[in-house]
Amino acid sequence: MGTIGIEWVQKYNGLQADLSNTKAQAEGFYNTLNATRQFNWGDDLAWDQDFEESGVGLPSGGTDTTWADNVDFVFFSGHGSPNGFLFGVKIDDAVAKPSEIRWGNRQLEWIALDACNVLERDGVFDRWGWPVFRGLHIILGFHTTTGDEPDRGRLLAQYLNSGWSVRDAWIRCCQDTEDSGTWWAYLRADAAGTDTYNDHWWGAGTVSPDPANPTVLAYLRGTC
Amino acid sequence: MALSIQFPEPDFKMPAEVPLFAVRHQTWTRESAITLARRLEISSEAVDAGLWMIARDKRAVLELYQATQSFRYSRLDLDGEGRECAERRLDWDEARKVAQAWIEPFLPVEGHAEVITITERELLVSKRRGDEPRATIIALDVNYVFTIDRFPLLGPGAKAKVSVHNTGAAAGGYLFWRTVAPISSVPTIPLEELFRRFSSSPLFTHLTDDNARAEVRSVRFGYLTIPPTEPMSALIPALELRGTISTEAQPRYDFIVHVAASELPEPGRAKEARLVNARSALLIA
Repeated sequence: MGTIGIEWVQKYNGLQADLSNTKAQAEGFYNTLNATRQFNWGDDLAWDQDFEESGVGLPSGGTDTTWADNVDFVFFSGHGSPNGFLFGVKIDDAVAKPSEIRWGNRQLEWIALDACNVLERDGVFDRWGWPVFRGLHIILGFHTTTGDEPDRGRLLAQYLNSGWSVRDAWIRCCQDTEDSGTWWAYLRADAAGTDTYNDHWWGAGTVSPDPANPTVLAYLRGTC
Repeated sequence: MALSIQFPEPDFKMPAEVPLFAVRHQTWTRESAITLARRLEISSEAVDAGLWMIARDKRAVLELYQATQSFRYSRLDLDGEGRECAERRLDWDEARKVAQAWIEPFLPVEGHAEVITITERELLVSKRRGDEPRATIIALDVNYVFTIDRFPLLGPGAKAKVSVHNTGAAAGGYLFWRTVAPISSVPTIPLEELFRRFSSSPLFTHLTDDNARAEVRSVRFGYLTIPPTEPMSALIPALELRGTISTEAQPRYDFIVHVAASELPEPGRAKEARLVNARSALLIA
């Protein structure tokens, strides 16, 4: 059985507008997916450094080998922008930036960044492309703004449990929970001998070997 | 100092009262599932899979939402990233015709559907760091919205889409809908009070004029619908506000917020009246 972790932020302490449904959304995923649960950090206990690589970027105090990169699937719910996803306390600098991130060199296969604009089309490969994918299979996210809503995490888990591929499950749960003004997006990696297009959740279908040294990155976006 | 929020001058007059639309709960039966599957040329029967009933053969899959009259159809024999296709550019008029022909037989009689956008489902592929990625439009998505009694239906639970593959085939589509009927009228809350409720919502709890700016750019009245996986007893009169909040850490956060435009029943009263999801988490009440 695969392992999962979640982080969510509702209380931004004046750094951003507060949100109302990120806890329900992330915990819906956590409590529904057939998985071994490893961590659930919210509000002031959710930190950007949990997602960042030690010694990479500035500030360089990443601890992802303990948290985000130490499970198979992570779900983050909070604010975002093309340049990263945002936290409510400045333990580090309150932004998990792609320049500080290396995922999959330990464990992580999939991550859902349920936050606005993180996978905005223009420049997506320059921001979230080659250096970030070190074995990571897929980043799920949004090209546009997305709603502050409570159901998407649970529905993503239900689609995954039902045997839909990771990419199909993301598209479906986004269509179920947003109007057609919102654009879902994903970014995935492949290499010789891998097939992340057909990835499923552990125990629900095939899972590709890790693309440790990707030879191709594919980005797809569409309206919900 | 509390955050000052700029509101636009609404370009509509808020009605003093509006119809209340009750949702008629109709479940998919084995027979209705078979009928729809056959219309979509799916040879197998639908099986119960929790939130959905699913009919699947080698060519396509049909998902029927058990809580509503909604369904989604997807071709399984067409690659979801368009990797098997020649790079043919689809014509938007052609896509609209294909979409209309596909969706027309399923459109509900009590709602009016119109195409709101045609959007490109786009694949970008990069094979080397720094190279310009190769872009391919793999499908055109024809997106429909609904109005009822001239009021727009807001949120995710009332819409339709047809994805027209670049071969010209309908690669998939969905119709999210609940059968509704007007049962009475409800008084609405004046706009000024709705703006006040929005301004005092949790969204702005920690923001002040010293650390943020907020502007509402558009306002419209309609009925909020929740995801097709969820039951609801009535469509909820709501104001939709779109705008931007700027802070030092996030210069532009574009929000969409719904504020209940009629008084919602307290949870106990809602239960006594057998109203399900009368106070959606999507709403500021």
